[in-house]
Amino acid sequence: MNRTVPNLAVCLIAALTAPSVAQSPATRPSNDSATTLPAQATTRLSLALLDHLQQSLRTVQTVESDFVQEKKLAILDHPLIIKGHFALQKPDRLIWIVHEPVRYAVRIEGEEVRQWDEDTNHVDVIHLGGDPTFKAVSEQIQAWFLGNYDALAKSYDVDVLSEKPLSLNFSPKSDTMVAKVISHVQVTFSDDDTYINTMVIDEAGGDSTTIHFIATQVNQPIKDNVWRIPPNEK
Amino acid sequence: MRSDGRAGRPRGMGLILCIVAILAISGAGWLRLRADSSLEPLLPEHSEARQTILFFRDSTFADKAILWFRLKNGGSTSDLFAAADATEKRLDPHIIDRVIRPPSQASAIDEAMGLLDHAGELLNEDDFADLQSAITPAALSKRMRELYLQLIKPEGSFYPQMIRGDPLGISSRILSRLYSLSTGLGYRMQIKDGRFLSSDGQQLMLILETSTTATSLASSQALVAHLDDLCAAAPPNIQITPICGQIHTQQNEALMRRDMRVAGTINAIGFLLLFLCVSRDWRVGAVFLLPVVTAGLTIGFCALVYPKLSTMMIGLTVAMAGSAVDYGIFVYTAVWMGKDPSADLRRILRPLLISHLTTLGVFIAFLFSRIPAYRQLGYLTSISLILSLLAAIFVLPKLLKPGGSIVGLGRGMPLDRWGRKMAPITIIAPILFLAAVFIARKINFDSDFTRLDGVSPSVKNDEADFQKEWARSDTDLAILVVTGRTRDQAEEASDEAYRIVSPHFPEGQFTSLSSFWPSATTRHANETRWRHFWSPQRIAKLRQDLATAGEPYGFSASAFDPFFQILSNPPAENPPRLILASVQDQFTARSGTDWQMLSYFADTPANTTMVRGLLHDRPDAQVVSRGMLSQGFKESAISETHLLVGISVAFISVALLVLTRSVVKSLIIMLPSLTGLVAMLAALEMMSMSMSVVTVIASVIVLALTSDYGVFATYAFEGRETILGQGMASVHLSFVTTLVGTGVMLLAHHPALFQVGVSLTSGLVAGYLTAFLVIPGILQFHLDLCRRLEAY
Repeated sequence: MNRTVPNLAVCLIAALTAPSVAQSPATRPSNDSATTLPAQATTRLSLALLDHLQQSLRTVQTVESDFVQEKKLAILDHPLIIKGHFALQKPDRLIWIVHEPVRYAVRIEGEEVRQWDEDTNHVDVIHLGGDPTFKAVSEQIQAWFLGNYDALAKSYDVDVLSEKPLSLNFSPKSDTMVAKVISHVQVTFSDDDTYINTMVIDEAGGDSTTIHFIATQVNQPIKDNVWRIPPNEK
Repeated sequence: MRSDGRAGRPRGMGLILCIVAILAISGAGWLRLRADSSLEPLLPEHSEARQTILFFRDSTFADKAILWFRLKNGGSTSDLFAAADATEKRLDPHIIDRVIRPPSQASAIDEAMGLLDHAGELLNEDDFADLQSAITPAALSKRMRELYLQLIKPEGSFYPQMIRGDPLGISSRILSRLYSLSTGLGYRMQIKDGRFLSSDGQQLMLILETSTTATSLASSQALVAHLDDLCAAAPPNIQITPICGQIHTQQNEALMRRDMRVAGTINAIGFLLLFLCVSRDWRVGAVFLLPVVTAGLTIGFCALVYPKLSTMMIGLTVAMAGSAVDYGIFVYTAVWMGKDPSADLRRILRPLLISHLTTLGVFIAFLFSRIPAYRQLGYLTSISLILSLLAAIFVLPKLLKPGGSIVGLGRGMPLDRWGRKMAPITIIAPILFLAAVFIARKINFDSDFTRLDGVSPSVKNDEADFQKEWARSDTDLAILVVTGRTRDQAEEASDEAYRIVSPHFPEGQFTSLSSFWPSATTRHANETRWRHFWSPQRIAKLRQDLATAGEPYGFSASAFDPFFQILSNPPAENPPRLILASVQDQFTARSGTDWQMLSYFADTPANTTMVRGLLHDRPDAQVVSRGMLSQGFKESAISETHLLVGISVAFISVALLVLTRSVVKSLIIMLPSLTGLVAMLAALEMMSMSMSVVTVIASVIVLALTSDYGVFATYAFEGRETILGQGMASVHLSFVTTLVGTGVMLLAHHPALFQVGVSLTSGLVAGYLTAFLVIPGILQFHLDLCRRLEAY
């Protein structure tokens, strides 16, 4: 079966987990969330805190960080540990590089997507409009890291788990597409609220993904070789 | 005396009763008349072009309408949604049956994910060859590596559930076919919150299923009025534009009625003015009214037998009415101004008959046409001409009273002297003729029938902009329509057509529902094949091989249990109703009680020819193609031209030769027709117009009318009349009355009527000038030459 054929279900899911730009009054979901909050959930995110967070994140022009991702999946015998590096530059430049356990990289720049992996050692060039998966990935990462929480708040119920450090829990609203895939997303910010330290994604099927961002640099120049595809050997 | 009076009364009573009966019959026909403004009568019977038009007439495919919402002066997508919601609340349920919506995203995803449960039904024979090679140990090892890589990617969170249920990627094949169904239809859009949005989110499309058809004028008018109301109620920052075929019907009809009203008014005023200028005596009025009355009677008679007459042909018949004025002039002058009425009547009979037969012959040729509109014109004009002639000979003398006069009749310069004065023009005329031939040779035939569409430029621009914004490509799509008495029959026929046609197209270039969701019969056969393939032994081996291939990557022993449950269980009972409901509107239609399955491919001559060839022995399959329709128009118009012009020229030639017994005289009589045709083509070319199916009619009419001018001019010269004598007065008056009828079409807004106006006016003017200026010159030259030769 051809692996390059776009997976329509993935396209649909990925496209629809992007922040919803607008909702008509007739489809505005209720505020009641059927998902179970983590035990330490306290209060709903206030507008003042949301505004403060948006202001902090909007000053971010670039983000560069190493990451360690731990995936606990029912399909695997053991947790999958993924290590890599990512960089994000406004308005529309993103690169996600995986060093372990396999070497892989994807760079999204404007409408162009370049993807490489060590198996094929070939760079695939895709147009963003032709594959909503990447469009959704790009929009998601930008939303979480560059502060479009106003839009996120339309698709999710947001609760404050702690204020110092700021930790928020995002539960997708029950009648959204996202709720079919994700149970909740827990995000913990840095002390100055300018970048994310940890992100925990609990999926509806019981799987979970924890991403730790290490040695994050904000608003620092990003070297040209970071954007190279194929990436340099680490 | 007393006995004569008594004998006269029954004859007079008989005539009156006859006239009353004729009026009553015609009146009944007028009451039955349902004028048809569509293009359908202009298409040859039993042609693919006609079948195409009938498809759009009879199929529910054409009952959709679109409201196109665009943001202006800023605004957001939420404004679009609010405007769409408000518009939906205002929809009239008597006109709009429902709003076609995409399925809700959450439910659609459930069904999309659940398509693997239907894999057995949806995979065909070719898929099994791939499946066979995909379950070898080497292929599985490679596949596990691919799945592992997918889990590592940023979007990897979405994959585990799907991988567990479908490690071989079977559903991707099915989903790609579903994806092709939407992309193959040539529209790029996204679905958001139950609405169709453009890729940039700045525009929204509301698709309406209506209870109207584009071929019903009344329902089209109701729909267009309702859509206009909805558009007018748009918020200030939103522009709403309606897109539907019914707009074309309504505007064409309105345009044609407006043009006919203007033409009728101007014709009436023109006739009145002409009458006042020519006679100022109401007793002569009958001469001018006679052709109009006979045309009116004829329309009624024909409508009694065939109520659905073409509006365009009715208009042409009225315009041609002026050509029969010459019958009345001839009879009038013969009966009331000559010394011996009987002798004068006999004298004018030959030229009257020649004129009548040459004109009648042309219109009788129309009766042999395969195009219904042409046959209608043939019946209308032939009967009208015959009635005009009979009325002129038998009725008109009884209506005319002595003492009436026509201004200038019998006066003016003698034609022989006039002919000498026209010598220079006679020398220049051939040069002008050759120049016209030079220009006319460049003319070509325009097969684009949309140029005959009278819809306004703003509607055409809106439709072009809509295509540019929403369509994936500039190439139109042709439709393969497969019909069945029941839905199952139609689906099975569609499957068969798909099996025959799709291998001849590159992948994704032939879009058919059969590729994704075939008929129940095919699905059952597929399921049987699936069950046979997945024997317990094969399932056990696959489980073992998957475990072996997955172990290096840490895939658990139970990783793919959901997949094996699907293999072991019978197929799901519930079809993916939401997905099917969202696509079937584009792929199914009804025509009366029949079902139609629609497939789409790029509309190119090569493709349509290939598909027609592959399915030529299937009467239930039809190709609907704009390109083919244009080509059909062109081919039929060209073949009809050959037929009609051929018959006309042959008839006229034979009639002339028999009646004149002179080749030279026959050639001279035909000169106005020749110059008229060439001038018509040159005028079209100079106005950057091409020949079309309507100018074919005009060319034949020019041939018919200008041959009259040649007949009367020639006989007037031989009768040593003056330039305002009986013969030439008939030419002048016939030309002026016909010119009023054709010239008014130059004011028409409808492109087809305007084109006819240009063709007829230019042809008639050239033919008249030839008859009035050139024929006397040629005949005088010929006479002088003969005299010199005799003297010599």
